Amino acid sequence: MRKLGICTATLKKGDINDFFSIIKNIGFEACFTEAFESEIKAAIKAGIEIDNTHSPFDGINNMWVEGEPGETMLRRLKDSIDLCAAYDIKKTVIHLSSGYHPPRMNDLGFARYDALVEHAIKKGVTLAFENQRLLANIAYVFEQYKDVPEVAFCWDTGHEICAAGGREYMPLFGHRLACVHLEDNHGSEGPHPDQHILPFDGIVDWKKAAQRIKNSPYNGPVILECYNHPGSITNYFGYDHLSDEAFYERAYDAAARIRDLIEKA
Amino acid sequence: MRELGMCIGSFENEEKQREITSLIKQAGFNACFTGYERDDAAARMACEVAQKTGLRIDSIHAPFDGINHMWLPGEEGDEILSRLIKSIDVCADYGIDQAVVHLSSGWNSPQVNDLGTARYDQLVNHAIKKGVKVAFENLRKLANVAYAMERYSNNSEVGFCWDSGHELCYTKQVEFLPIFGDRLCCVHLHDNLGILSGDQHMLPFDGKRDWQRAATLLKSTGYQGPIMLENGHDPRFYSDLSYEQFLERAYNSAVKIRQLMGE
Ligand SMILES: [Zn+2]
Repeated sequence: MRKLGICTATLKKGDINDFFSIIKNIGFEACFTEAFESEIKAAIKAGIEIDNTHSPFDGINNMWVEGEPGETMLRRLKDSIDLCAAYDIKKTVIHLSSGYHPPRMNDLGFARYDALVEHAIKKGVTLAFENQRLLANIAYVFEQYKDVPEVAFCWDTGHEICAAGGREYMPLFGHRLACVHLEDNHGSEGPHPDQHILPFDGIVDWKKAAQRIKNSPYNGPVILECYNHPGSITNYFGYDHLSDEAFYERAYDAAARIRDLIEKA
Repeated sequence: MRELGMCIGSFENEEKQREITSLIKQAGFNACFTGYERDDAAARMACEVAQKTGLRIDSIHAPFDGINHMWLPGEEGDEILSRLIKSIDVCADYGIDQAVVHLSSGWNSPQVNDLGTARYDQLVNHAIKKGVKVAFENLRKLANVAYAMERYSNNSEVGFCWDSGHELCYTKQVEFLPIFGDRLCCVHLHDNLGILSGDQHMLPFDGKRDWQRAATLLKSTGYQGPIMLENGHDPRFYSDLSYEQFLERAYNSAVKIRQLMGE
């Protein structure tokens, strides 16, 4: 049976060890972490499987821009790969751009991503490129690295419905699926559409999503990328009124429902 | 009522051009697209003949031989760009709304890069100046079409040309209409057996495409243009039909697609 997991970014503040002990008590067995050694160590200590890390993405647009910030970004991404390798974590999730109008794809950025992919191959770490607002850059990745098994897809269910103009990514890249960010929202309206709320609290068609996952080669854990950040958009569902335990229980139930849907699909 | 159209090849001999064009008209088609596969004079002659015959020219198919050079350094790239620009000028001179443009050829075509982007920018800028729309057509790749749609997302002069046959034989897992339907301004409808790279250009309903789905998707985009076929009298499939019979079969297939669209 697939493990159920949740990401460390769910926790905005508070102690990472407490986070792991709470989710473990509730029944979660897997997670993905940020690219921080402290989180990785805490997960290992708690006996929670680390399916992948989320590589840094603040400043990701610099990958396409000449100058030091782009070089720094590339270095941070390589460091993130090294961190995975050091702890035998097989996969890390990578972004390609940020916002609706990032710098256009260009030779410089291609060369940097080439260097990143080369580094990942050398270290035996898979890069899972995540769907966001655009199509061309991620489509490019799967054409350019068509024959590179270390290049894979991370499907974010929430980004797809709030930021991609109705595009569905799984028919395009599902055959390369290696990571999932399961999360929900209410579509593209409003100032903060990318809500990262719990599955079944928004409008994602989870039955269809489960079918898509079932049809893909992915057999990893059911991992949520949902936030419990008091005072943020996740207020929307009154999560603020839930204790941490109650929130994570609700999260667990949602993940278990998705697992059932995948199994029955 | 929605127009029905058929592509017209470019012939060396004006008489032959006239004959073929008339037969297409007589078969019942009222729109067409012409090509730019020879030279400028041939393209202009084909346009003149089509217009004199009373066919509305929906688009010109811009040249695409050597199109990969658009992304490569060297004179050949400049040469193909200048031919593309000339085909835009033909559109402008004959009051034709749009030119269909390719982005690459073959499976191992060059990827998007700075040089090619600069050349396509030049092409698009020229088209804008001339009031002609550039319709980028789907072939084997998704990234370059997506790139064009994103790069020129604010240019109403840039649209999408959906080729139903290419989709079936080159990119089976990709349905382009749900992705780029909001930019659709042109169609190339034809069929094939769905074998990888088997771009057979059979008449609709003679191959494996689900035309009900195609019609539904087309309708859902709000596309107003003609049901435009891109077929030739291919002896591999139609040797038992005279050219007139072939055109009749073609016309009937176009009517059927229009019916499937509920029109
Ligand atoms: Zn995500």
